[in-house]
Amino acid sequence: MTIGPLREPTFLILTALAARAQHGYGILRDVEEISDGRVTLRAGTLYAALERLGADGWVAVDREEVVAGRLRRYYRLTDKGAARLEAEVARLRAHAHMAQRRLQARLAGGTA
Amino acid sequence: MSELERRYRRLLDWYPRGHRERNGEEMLGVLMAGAGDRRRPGWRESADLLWGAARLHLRWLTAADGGVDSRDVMAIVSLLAPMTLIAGATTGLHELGWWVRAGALSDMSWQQQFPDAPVWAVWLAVAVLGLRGFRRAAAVGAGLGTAGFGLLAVLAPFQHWWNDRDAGWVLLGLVTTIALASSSGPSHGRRLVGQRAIAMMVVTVVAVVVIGTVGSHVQAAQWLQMAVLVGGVVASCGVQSRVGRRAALVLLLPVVTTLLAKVLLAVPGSFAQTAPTALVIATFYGVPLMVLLTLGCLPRRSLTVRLG
Repeated sequence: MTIGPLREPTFLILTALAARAQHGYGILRDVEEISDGRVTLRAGTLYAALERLGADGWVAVDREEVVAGRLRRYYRLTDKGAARLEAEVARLRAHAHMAQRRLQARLAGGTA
Repeated sequence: MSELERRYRRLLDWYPRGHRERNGEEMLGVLMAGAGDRRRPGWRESADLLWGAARLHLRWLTAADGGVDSRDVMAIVSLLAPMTLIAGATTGLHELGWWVRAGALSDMSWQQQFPDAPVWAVWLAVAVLGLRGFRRAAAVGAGLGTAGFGLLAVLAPFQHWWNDRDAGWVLLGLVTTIALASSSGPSHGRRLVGQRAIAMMVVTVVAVVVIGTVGSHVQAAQWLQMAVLVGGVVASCGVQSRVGRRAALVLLLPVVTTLLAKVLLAVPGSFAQTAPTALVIATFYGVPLMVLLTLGCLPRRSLTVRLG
């Protein structure tokens, strides 16, 4: 079965959770950092995505804690989610590699 | 509570209740943490929250959130649909009643007055078999009953067996056959809705048949029949449960196509007479099936036939 590419917010959320479990606000900040400030997710988008990723079994609740009277829920990447992210990384790497080769060929052609 | 928190809470009120109960406080925490010294939500943030709420409502409505197991829907359908289908015999039973009252039953032409009697008898047998736990036999019977509908469309086309409100009975027969053949069956359906639902469904069908038989050709009786069927089906399947509501929608296919026919026939030019056959079929069969699929009432993946 062919797997379609991940949308950028999904890719960034999965990446944010790849190394460790994080709470909602942590994911928002991390996504901004990962994308070098280019992507700013907001709470509405994040929680709609988390709902979908949870239903797909890519993300699961890791633990909950109460900080300053507010519920803080930590999310983690599941094995299924990690496999999907890995597949996406491989896809992007293959595309980048091919693009690199074509650019090199273009340069070689241009100087010939 | 600060003004900012109050405004955020008001925006979060737009989210589906289940999501709000699960994630509302957590989302509020994230929003407050990111608010800085703002005193009211920004327009981008408000739009994002409203858009997120709309997306979740859509996922909820289409069961894309994984909260509805269509196999459970099918199990309830396999239990209650054969009983519901018996209500379709009302017109024929009205004819039969007339001949009985006239004391001339022996003179009645079954082929003219009640040509669909054998089909309804098959569905009655399917209902009994399903209730007794003979799923495989009930599935075979349902297949025969559905084929009977097809046969009626060929042999008695004057009764519009393939379109109009009768399309709903044909569709329900088809879905019931699939449900009996592929779902975990009436016994699982009984566990989901309980014994009370069966009794309620029997009472509903009897009421619908009596109203239709006594008040045949009376417009108000037709509406009352539909209202009783809707109320009885919804109460039997369980209005509180998402699975139950979807099962009810499947069982109400005859009501859906009846209403569809009423709307289309109200348009000058009489849709059923003037529209191409393919369009009529697409309208009475395709549209209801698409709606059921979209709402997660039917399995979206290929069905595995389990007759064993």
